[in-house]
Amino acid sequence: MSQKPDDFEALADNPFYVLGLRPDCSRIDIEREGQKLLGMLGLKLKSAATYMSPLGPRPRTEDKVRAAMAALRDHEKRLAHEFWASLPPPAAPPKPPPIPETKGPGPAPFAGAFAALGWRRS
Amino acid sequence: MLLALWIVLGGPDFVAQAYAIGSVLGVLILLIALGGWMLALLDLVGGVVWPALRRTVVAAGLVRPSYWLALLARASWEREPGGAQVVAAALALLHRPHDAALATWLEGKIQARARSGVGGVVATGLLAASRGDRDGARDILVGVDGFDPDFAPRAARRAANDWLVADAAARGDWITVMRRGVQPGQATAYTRFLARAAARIRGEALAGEPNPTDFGLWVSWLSAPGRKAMRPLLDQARAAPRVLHQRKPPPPASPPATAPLIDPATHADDPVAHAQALHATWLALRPKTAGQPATELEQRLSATRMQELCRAWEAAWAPAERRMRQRVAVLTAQMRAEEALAPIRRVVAGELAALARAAKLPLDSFEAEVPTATLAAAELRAELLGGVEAGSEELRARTAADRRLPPAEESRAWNQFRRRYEEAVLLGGMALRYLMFPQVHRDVCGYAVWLWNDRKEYGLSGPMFQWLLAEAEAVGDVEAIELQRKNVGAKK
Amino acid sequence: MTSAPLYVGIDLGTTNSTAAVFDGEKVTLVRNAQGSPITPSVVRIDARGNVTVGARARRFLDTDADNTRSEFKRLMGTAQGIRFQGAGVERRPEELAAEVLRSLRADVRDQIGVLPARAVISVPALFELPQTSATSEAARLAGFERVELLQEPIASALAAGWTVEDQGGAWLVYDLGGGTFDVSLLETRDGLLRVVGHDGDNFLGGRDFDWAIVDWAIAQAARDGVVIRRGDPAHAGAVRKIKLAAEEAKIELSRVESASITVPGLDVAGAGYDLDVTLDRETLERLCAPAIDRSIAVCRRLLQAHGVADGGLTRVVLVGGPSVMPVVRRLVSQQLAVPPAEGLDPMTLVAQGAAIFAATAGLEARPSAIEAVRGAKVWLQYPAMSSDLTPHVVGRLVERTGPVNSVPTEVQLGRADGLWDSPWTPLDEEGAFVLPVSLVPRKPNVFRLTGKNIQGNAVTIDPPTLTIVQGLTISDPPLSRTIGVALASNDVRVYFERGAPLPARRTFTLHTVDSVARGAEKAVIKIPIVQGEYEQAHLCRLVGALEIGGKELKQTLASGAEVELTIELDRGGRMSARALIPAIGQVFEHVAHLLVPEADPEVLASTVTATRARLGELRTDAFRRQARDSIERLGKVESALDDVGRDIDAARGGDTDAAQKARRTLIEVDAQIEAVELDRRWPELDREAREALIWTTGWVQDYGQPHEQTLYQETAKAVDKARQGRDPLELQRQLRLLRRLGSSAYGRHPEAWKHRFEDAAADVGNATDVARAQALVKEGREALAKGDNEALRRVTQKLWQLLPSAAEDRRKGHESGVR
Ligand SMILES: Nc1ncnc2c1ncn2[C@@H]1O[C@H](COP(=O)(O)OP(=O)(O)OP(=O)(O)O)[C@@H](O)[C@H]1O
Ligand SMILES: [Mg+2]
Repeated sequence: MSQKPDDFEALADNPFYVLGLRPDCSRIDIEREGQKLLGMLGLKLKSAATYMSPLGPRPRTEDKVRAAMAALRDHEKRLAHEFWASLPPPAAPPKPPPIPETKGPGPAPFAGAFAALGWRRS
Repeated sequence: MLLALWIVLGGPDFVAQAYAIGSVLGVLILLIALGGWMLALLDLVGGVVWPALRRTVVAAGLVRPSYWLALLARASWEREPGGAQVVAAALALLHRPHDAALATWLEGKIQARARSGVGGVVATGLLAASRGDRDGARDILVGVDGFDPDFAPRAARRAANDWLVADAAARGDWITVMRRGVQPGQATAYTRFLARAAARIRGEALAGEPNPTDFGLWVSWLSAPGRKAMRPLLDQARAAPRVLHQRKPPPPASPPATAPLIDPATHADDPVAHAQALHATWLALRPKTAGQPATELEQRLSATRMQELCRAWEAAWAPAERRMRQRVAVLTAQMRAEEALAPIRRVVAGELAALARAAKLPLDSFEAEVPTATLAAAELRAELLGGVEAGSEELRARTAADRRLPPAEESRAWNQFRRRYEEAVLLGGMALRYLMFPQVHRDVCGYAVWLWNDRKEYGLSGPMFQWLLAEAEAVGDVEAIELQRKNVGAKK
Repeated sequence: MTSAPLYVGIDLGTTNSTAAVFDGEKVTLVRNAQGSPITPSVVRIDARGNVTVGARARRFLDTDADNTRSEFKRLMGTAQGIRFQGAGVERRPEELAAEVLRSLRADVRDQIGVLPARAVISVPALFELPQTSATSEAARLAGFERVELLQEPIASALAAGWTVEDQGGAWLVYDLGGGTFDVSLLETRDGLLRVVGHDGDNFLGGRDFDWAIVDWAIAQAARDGVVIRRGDPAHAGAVRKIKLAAEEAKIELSRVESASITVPGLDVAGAGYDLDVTLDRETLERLCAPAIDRSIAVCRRLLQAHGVADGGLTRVVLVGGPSVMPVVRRLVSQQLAVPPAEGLDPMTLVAQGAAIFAATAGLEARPSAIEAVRGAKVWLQYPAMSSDLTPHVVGRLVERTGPVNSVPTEVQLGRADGLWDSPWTPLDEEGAFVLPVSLVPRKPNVFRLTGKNIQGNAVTIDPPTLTIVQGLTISDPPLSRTIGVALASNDVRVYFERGAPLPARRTFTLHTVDSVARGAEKAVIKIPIVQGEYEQAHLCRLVGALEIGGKELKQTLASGAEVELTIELDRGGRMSARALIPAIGQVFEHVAHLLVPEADPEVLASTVTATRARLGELRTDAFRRQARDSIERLGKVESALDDVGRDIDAARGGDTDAAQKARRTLIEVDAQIEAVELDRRWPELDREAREALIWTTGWVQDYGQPHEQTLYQETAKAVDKARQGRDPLELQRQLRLLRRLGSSAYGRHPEAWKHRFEDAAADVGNATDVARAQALVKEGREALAKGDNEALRRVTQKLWQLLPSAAEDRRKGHESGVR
């Protein structure tokens, strides 16, 4: 029932988003950007630590950058990634999502339920 | 004995000091033994030891003393004294800050003293809870109410139920609180109060009793533990109007929607980007961490919305292929556009299926005439069936190889399997139910028979037979019904 | 003043090893004490324990075979010890490899004056994890502080790409060595060199030519009535001598038209014999043709896998000793319709490429000199070699506090030739800068890094310079074989696909199958790590296992508990793994044995017998079905089994390499057979479905209740649909339901249980517990006699429980404890 975290990554981990490039970029762009990002990540620069995807900001790691470069060097693979990246990533980092209130019928969750039984551990 | 006492008190001159001390000890031991006997006697009459223990030694969080003293609670645990010990110790563990060493100690005791029987199951569940693993505890404990009362002491079922009700209340799952809270045979004052308060606030009736009155609420509250903590709940309940007739629950107020990062409407002119934006909107609503319920997705992704999404994808394929053909030429790739698109379609179908599953949308929400939707439906169907089949096969393989797990693990394995099956029925309807049952019946029946015959885990296997019977009736499998009736009727 | 960079590359070959150095502009071969760039990979340890390496050791290969060893590279990664009789010592393969490396390292010192601390060592592309880690170990033993491993074909391509001017297009590196054959498809575009894919055969090379010649020579001897057998230990000495002579003749024939094989005084089982035959080039070419054809077939397979049509190659680079042979060059370029690249030395190309690669990896060979530069310390990141003319340099201040005057706020990069300077660039709030620089093509470019403090005064920066070579960019080295975890179901959870860029790290959540009690001595959950492209775990090679033992557990582990398993590979393909169990917050990191399993000839032989039996069955069946594909496949299996038989013979004669080869072939045979079985399963299932339909129709019509009859109608339709759609999984599901309906109806027949019992009783031999099953059969017979239908049913059901088992799968899946 619970989704494995590695299930949904076609959109969020798209190499173009990881490298901050658009699908029409050239081969040299990929190498240049990738090498630059690897350098920045190697020096732990905050400016390289996240990238924007349609599913929100994601952490950028050296592994991801390397995998992205490898994927885009292969034209067959690049083709598929171009498809997924045809959506431009949202420009602004989004505001933090509102805390969902569960205002269904019935009382709110009762945090003291365990304590009422004298239990210190849930 | 009295004589000895007299000698000690009366003859200081000729009795050696050491002898005196020895005697005093002897007397004390005797007194304790006598006290024990008297308690045991009392216990036989009214089963008072267990409740008394729970209020004193257990409530004080004294794990080891609880463990030993529970031996006296014969009446409440006739069949399995070891079970009483480990459950008492596990409860005591919950009453104190977590202590890893004690937890480990108890774990050893469960392995040594409660290898079979419900006591070990409940204690393992509570132990998991004391370690903060609430999901694990729930997995182990949910099945306990199904245990045959003949093999599952009421004290054990109550302890499990208390925890499950508390857990449901803490999660805000009041439906479960109301159902479990008044379940005969395992309800306690605590669970009853929670169930009644919830029923009153929600304006719903409980099984077998009307919506509670103010007076009824007061009484339940007074008899329940933790009055101070539960006072606000009492006040909230009394403030709610009392409803005598079952009222239809009001439609849930839709929660404030999370704003999409990319508004699909801005891409209305480009079918591909539109489908992707819509897709992304829904994907973004998935819970951030695995295991969390997908509440918002469940509430907002209706069948209509899913159909809209599928259609959006359907409309995207033709332009996507056109675009891809151009790119194939530019990149001089070896592949044809359709070839490149095929795996993408599969990925989309897989993600649609996963979305539907997270949102608990039934299989038939997918429209048969939209190819993308059919593909997604096939994916979801295969996933549901595959999950059940693999689970069933696992039970069968374990039975065949006689690979025994401790009862708590069996209970967990069984509950997990049942949940998968029930999910498949919920989403897949009768069609899947018919299809799954033959294998599931063969494997689960074998498994339950193994638990019963070879392992004497009557408490565990009884409910399995019952479940099989209910399922057999649901699919109208006459042969299975007949067989399971016999199994359910069987008593050791 | 900075001296020119120094990069060292080493080709550690099975037969010959070579070292080369690169200074950013040109590659120089390192000559050994004998003045040759090629050092035979031969080690001799004499009775006094003195170690000799190379040509001086090679001379003793035939006269003193017990103390002189070659071809130990083939044993890398196995636990096999190699004995030196005279000195009475035993050495591991990596220790002998270390001797060769040490000797090459000394040659570099003698020629360049620097004892290198870092180097790149090439390994065959198809080396597996145990072998690569043994190679790293050898380098460590030889005194290298750090090495990177590079796949041989990439090295060749890199060297070829550096030397050959015209860029672009797809090309093939054909590397036929002493015992391994590697072929790689590469592509260069815009100065980026990319490995598209490789293939190869771990057991194909010059040796095969030698053996073909030996067999021919033995046949010649047989004309004189002298019988020499390769598998006979008594003839081992004679065979070894003939082989050495054969190899010499072969090498000679690369230059001349005919050569003689003369071995006087052969000791054949006690009797003496003088072998003297003449081999001409034509005969040699005829003898070698089958092996060459095999290599070309592998090339074709690779080209096909990557959709390269005939004539789609720009050129082929021929590497390795046997590629010197005119016949090899001719056949390869003819058959693949591609010109060979000229002007490249097949024998040293790999070492040259390794040296160039050391530059791209920034692996300076000099031990890091502690240059006393006083100034603001900066961490730098830049490519040591790049095809891009404007790559980026990224830097960051190590310390941002200190006297204001010594902290730079702006930096500038200037090229040493004075023709290019970057603008002055302010450091950002993290004290970092990112600057594009401009390179001069095909040269080492030195840049000076200068800084200014807040008052605009110059600040020295440490390091003051950096060097970037403009040349090729090489994509990250790809993984040669898929790596994954074997699951209890005998499936493989793939972690890294073959071709994945290295280094790489990945985590998946797995689930335990059984529970493990804390402290339980014997209970372990085994997580087998396998390498190979097969979908079924048992066909892949086990390269390591992580074990979670009850003894180390802090608390009992539930069945189905989550295990987050992370596998990490470094650039050289070395692997590490760790398992985190979130429920108990414990981490396990100890990866057990990383060895190539030994292959015992007797075990192999019995596997061959079993496989032959299976082959027979499958063949009969395939002919019956007229399944052409399967018949063809089985034909291949048959001839592969013949090869295996020969190799086992050779293994009995002491050739451990042949044993490994046999083992490998058997795995491939297994995969072929699996494919045939898969092919066979569908028709069988389809037939079953038809039969089930016929069988159930009758029973359901006669004995079925109304709701069963409706359900039956629907199911029958679904069965037809699944048959049309050729969907085995779905068909099996529907069949289960169908059978269930049929059996329900059938059960209403008065004699049903009697028949069921008889069926089960007939199958008793397959029961998991035969004794118990037999007891049950006896019990059943009694019930039958008494006419006790109820008891009969109970017995039959119990009997069913004992019949087939899925424990089999788990055993196959390397006994995996996770799913
Ligand atoms: N001039 C030549 N003509 C023909 N064969 C040769 C020639 N020189 C060497 N060989 C053969 O080449 C083989 C050794 O080739 P090479 O040195 O390329 O292998 P290697 O690199 O040591 O092996 P590997 O690459 O498999 O580790 C030997 O079988 C040798 O007989
Ligand atoms: Mg070589």
